[in-house]
Amino acid sequence: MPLGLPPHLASSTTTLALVRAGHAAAAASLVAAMAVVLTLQTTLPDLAVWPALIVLVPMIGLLVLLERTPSTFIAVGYLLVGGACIAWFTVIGSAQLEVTPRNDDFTVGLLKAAVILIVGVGPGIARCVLWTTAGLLVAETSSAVVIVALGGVWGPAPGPITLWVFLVLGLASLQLRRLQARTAIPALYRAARDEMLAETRRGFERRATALVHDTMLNDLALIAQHDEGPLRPGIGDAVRADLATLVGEEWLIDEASPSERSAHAEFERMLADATAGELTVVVAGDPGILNRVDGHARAEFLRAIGQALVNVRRHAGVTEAEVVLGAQHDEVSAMVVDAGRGFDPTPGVEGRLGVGLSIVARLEAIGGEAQLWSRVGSGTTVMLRLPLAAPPVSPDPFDIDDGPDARPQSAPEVTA
Amino acid sequence: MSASAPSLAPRRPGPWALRTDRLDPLSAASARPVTVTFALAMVTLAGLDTIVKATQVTSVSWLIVTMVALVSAMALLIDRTRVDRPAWSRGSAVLFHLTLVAMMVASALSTAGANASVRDDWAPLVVGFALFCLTPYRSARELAVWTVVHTVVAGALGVAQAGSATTLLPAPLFAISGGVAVLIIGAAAVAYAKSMNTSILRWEQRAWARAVAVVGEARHGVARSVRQREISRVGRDALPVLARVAENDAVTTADRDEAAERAASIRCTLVEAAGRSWVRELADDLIERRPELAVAMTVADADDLARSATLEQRTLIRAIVGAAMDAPGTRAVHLAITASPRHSGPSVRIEVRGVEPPGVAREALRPLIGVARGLARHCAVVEVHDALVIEFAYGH
Repeated sequence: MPLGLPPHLASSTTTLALVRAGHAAAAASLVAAMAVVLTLQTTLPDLAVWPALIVLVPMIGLLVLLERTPSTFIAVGYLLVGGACIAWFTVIGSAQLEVTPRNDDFTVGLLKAAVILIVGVGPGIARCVLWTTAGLLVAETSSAVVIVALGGVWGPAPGPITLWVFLVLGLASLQLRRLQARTAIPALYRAARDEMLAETRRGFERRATALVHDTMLNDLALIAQHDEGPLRPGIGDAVRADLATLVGEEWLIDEASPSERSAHAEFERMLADATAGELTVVVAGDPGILNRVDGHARAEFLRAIGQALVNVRRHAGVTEAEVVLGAQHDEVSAMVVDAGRGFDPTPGVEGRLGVGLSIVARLEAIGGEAQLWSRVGSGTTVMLRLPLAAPPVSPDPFDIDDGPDARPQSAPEVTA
Repeated sequence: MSASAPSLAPRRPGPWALRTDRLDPLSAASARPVTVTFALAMVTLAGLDTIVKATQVTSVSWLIVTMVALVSAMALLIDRTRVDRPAWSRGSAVLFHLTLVAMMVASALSTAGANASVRDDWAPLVVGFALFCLTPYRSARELAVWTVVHTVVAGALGVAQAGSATTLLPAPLFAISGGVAVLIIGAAAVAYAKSMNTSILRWEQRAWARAVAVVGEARHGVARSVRQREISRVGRDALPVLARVAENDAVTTADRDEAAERAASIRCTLVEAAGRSWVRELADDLIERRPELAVAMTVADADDLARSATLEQRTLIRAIVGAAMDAPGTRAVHLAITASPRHSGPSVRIEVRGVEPPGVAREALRPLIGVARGLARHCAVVEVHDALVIEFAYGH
């Protein structure tokens, strides 16, 4: 989530990046200096400039160490070796090229840049300014001492000072950027938290809605269509069980804890609840395959099958249905088939509330999918699929549990 | 279920391939003043250096071409890093680099035969700083590639100008002195971009883990709240008749009538709940959280497209709309989500009206507009009459 760095980390992270940038630039400077020496030695073999490499190699080594395991000790060592390197290069250049030592020599300038670009050993703007300043002082002092010792005239070189000014200004700008305050960050964090909580709430609301539909609404429909007089067998128990479920808190538990009961027992219970003694269901396939699915996902899968059977019982006008259970290496499936009156399966919440809420949304919430085929007069088939190694349905963090969150509710895929 | 454990953070490319403005748009937004300063400083540097070394100019025509290329490149840099503009596209980035190459070539031609010291040329320095200015907007990998390209070009131009140098040195040294400025600053730019991305990615992982933990802790409370509200609301009406029938084990005509009536009522409630769009839920939530504000909020998302947006996309919409409601003088906010005809993601339009001029709301929303610019494929902010209109489209 691109919430951005929080204010307390923004400055230190940027400073650290600048330190690393300085080290990379220093490495490039040292490589360039080495290339200059090698070029001179190769093209002018009469000269003996190769000894310059003797101090260049440890300087590169210390820079690598500074980058990998930054410490004050290594940084001080780098500055000292860097100072020696500058002096050594000045001496060799003066002796071999037979020129008066100058403070603006190109190769020595590369080494001075490498020393100044130490920038720091970690985050902290003030410390970085101090280390950079120390680098400038070491570079210029070393250069001045050698030039004066060799009889030259020392004067401040514009290059290193410009580099130092540039670095200090860059570090100061980081301070300014910190002062600007990332005013958007708190708003984004609040929004992210609120959005996550809204998703969580939405998941529970969908679960509650599906539960109300499967229990209360079904029971009310049963009673509304019931003949006057004593309840038919099974209905009273089903209503009492639903009442207990509604007022209870079990449906709030969304951890995927393995159920104590076997898949067989749960499947039988689902059949009993869904048929209410009014529908004969022929089961093909072994309900034991559902043991491959963990607790919450299995419960939701069974509820979806149950709701498909409830729809057959209430709408199909038949007393028989068939449930075909199947399994492959990566999914389990259930097909609920009836030869009833069928219907026009045009998607729409108003007409297909049960399918949308209790079947499609339920399956989507656990990473599965539902397909429905129906035609007026030709019965209905509902196919439910649940992958066993379902990839996360979205990058949302809510996928860490099995709650029916973060998935758009879409219309069922229907084929007439 | 043997579902694989999902990763907490969104899938991202590695720190080499990422662009900081996508990962942390605010970093890019806060770097903008520095970028502008650098761009202006580079033009100034080039101008002053040319004046100081006026005697080395041998072709005014090429000098004009050089300056035109420089100003074009810097104008492009300033324009493409504007907070309210879409991020750099690959095409405009390539154009920018080619303009820099043209500028270096033209600069060398403008002093052909009279360039006394290649290492003092301003053009490679400008290219190096330009590379550094791109660190928030282009990937470390791309910067590395262009660093190599520019270094090679600068080195080649150094060798080409060796003949006019005041110091007699082997030709390869002119390649080094010509390209070293680009190499040094380019290496710094690459390391800076990679370090920033690595740190931000690490922070992002931790932030996700923490956010998940916070929401996890609140989860049970949310569940209880939902149970209390939803189940009680619908159950209040239906529970009496169900309890009565279950207790009597019999159905009367009154029970049947009441059950039918309650079923119809509950069904309406469920249909309404199932049909609520994300923007509607957002509006209700934001208004509920701000009872003291008299802001009228309207929403439009007929196909509930926002529901299928990612969490980070919805987070940004929520943040902008919330900030718009909180902006001084806001009286009305309209949020519309539509399918983008050109991109795969949805298009978002937020209209803010208030008693203050639109500039006030614009100022209040500036940081978040910067975030939108980093995240959206297209982002435009305009003031239409008395309203501030923010439009952006997802679909990277």
